[in-house]
Amino acid sequence: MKKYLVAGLVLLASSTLHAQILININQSSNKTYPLAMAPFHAYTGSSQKIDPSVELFQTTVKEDLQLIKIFHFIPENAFLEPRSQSRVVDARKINFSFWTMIDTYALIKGLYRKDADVITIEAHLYDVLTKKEIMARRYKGGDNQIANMAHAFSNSILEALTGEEGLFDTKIAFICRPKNDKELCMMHFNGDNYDTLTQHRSITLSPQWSKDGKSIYYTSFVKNKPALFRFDLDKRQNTKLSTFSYSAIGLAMDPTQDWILTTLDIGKNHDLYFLDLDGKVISRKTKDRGVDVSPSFSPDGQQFAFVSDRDGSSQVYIMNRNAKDSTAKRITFKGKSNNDPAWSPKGDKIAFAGMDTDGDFDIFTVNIDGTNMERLTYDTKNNEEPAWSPDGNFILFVSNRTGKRQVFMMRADGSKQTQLTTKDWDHFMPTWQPKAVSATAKPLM
Amino acid sequence: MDFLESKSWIVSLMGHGVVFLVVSNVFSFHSKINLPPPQSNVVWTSIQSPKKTPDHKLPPPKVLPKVEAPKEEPKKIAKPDAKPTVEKKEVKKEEAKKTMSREELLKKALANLDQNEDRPMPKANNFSSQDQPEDQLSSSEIGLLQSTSEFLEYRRLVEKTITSNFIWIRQAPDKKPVIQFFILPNGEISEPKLLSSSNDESYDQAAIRAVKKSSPIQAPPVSLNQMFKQEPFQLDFDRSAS
Repeated sequence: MKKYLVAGLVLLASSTLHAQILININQSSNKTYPLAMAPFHAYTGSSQKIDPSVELFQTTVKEDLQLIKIFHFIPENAFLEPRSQSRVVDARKINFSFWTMIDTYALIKGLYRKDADVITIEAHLYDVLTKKEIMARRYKGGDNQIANMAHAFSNSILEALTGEEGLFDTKIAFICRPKNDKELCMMHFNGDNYDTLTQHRSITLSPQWSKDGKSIYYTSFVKNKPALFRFDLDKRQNTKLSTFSYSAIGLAMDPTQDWILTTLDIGKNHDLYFLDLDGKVISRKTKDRGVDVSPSFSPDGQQFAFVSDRDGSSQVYIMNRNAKDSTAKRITFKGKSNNDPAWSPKGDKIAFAGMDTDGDFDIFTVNIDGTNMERLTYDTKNNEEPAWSPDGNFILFVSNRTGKRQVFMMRADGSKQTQLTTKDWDHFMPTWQPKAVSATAKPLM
Repeated sequence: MDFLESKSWIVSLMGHGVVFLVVSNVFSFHSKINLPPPQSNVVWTSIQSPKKTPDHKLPPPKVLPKVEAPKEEPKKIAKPDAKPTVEKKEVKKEEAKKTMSREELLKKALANLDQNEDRPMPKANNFSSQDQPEDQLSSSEIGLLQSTSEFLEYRRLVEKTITSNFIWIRQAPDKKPVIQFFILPNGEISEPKLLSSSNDESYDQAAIRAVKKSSPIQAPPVSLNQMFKQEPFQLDFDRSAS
């Protein structure tokens, strides 16, 4: 009987029910997010000319946010807001229709004051669609701190708009070859402040940041003997920690204890060994006939990935740190040669360089169980030596697509590839400074 | 009295009315309950993410998620011989009636009810005793129009256009907004309205912005103009691909 009643009700309804046309949107477009940054204005005075330090602040913020290619800035000549409103930073008094008309989603406005050598910058971020202020920061410092202030504000903008932690105040260490020798170099995240840190006039390899990000470990073949060095950023000082008794290839800093994992050629075989910072062998980790190189630790330090040719070709393996035997699990099975594994900070993936059928290397990622192999670069000559950003959202790599080997950056899905170095010489082995200790300008509000 | 006591009057009522049940879009109202596969006249679609490449061979370069047509085409119901117009309304009803016997229709209607007993009933305010105005399409006609390839193609175009204008770079809120709008014969999108908020004002506004930026959209096919004037699009912003 229930069925008859239900059917009757449905029949009564059938002649008048509307048939809505349903559309389901479950992804956003690939378009970049439109931002506008109005010229900052002095707290007082009517001068239209912006202080050069403030101009540098604004330019740096723009360059930072454009570098990661998820934002674009509306050009200033499209702005409609009259000059009389440029000093208004109270969201209730801003006429947002001037900004919606030019298709802006978020707006940056700011005020500043310069007292002798100290500058105060007050910067605001607004959601144009909801007509509300999202966040505001005030920075105070000398001219030499402008870039740091700008990077800090870029971080705040990124976090407010995407939820991602900004990395604009971090640095990248790498090996450079300005002449015939390989030296340790460093630059800012955006490619600025390129700096050669060593003058060993030798082969320098395997830069690794310390856990606190205040120093860089590396190996160098000074006087033809491999030695472990540490470069302290604050003191700008090089310290030789030890000379290896054996030829050491590659280097990975243990994230849990200050040990290093490296390849030593003891007994005419290349295996992985734990050493202390004095270069003393602590334990041997791999024992097989193949060559085992390029170790990379998991974030918790309990496992490491490495490359071995034990099965006939170079493939990526992972191994437990405390394994009593040298059993390792192979996680790549395709391609003639897979090298340079880099374990992601999120712990779920390993990036590596794999040789394609054309003989060139490209960057891939694979889950740590060997599934879901994904290709991130394609048809751009050689792309090698991947290194993750501290948040796991970006990957650094080296490519010779523009001639010399240059450092590039891309998002972890392979999109938004950006060249960071442009010097007319080769670059190798980039590595990203840990986020926790990078110098950040402290906002006053 | 015998007549009233027996169930035959109910069966008779069912027989006359079930034609509407089968050909019209009686189950088309928006519901959060699992809906039947797209055999019904309302076609439920979603934009699929690109499939991941298997790891057995070197995969192609990963590209940003693109708006793709649904992988599985909804089943298309045979296009009616005559274009459904207001004047031919009665003819269409007759044609629909002829397609199945009364018993078959009843059986099918009951079977549908069996499958959808957990479906919420239409609300009382959806019922109306007023006669349908002459210039309005009946629900059965709308149901038929929704099954045409012209409709499906146009709806896909609307989906693609709005998706391409939807800019969002943060994690999408759990609750998704629902937006209603009409498409006029000249392609103008009119009366975009937030029916249900995501509780994230910024996300709601970005969704409405996407709809507004899509106007004017390509004008709908003439055969669909009447329906689009009458029946709103309802847009469900499901999740962002951040």
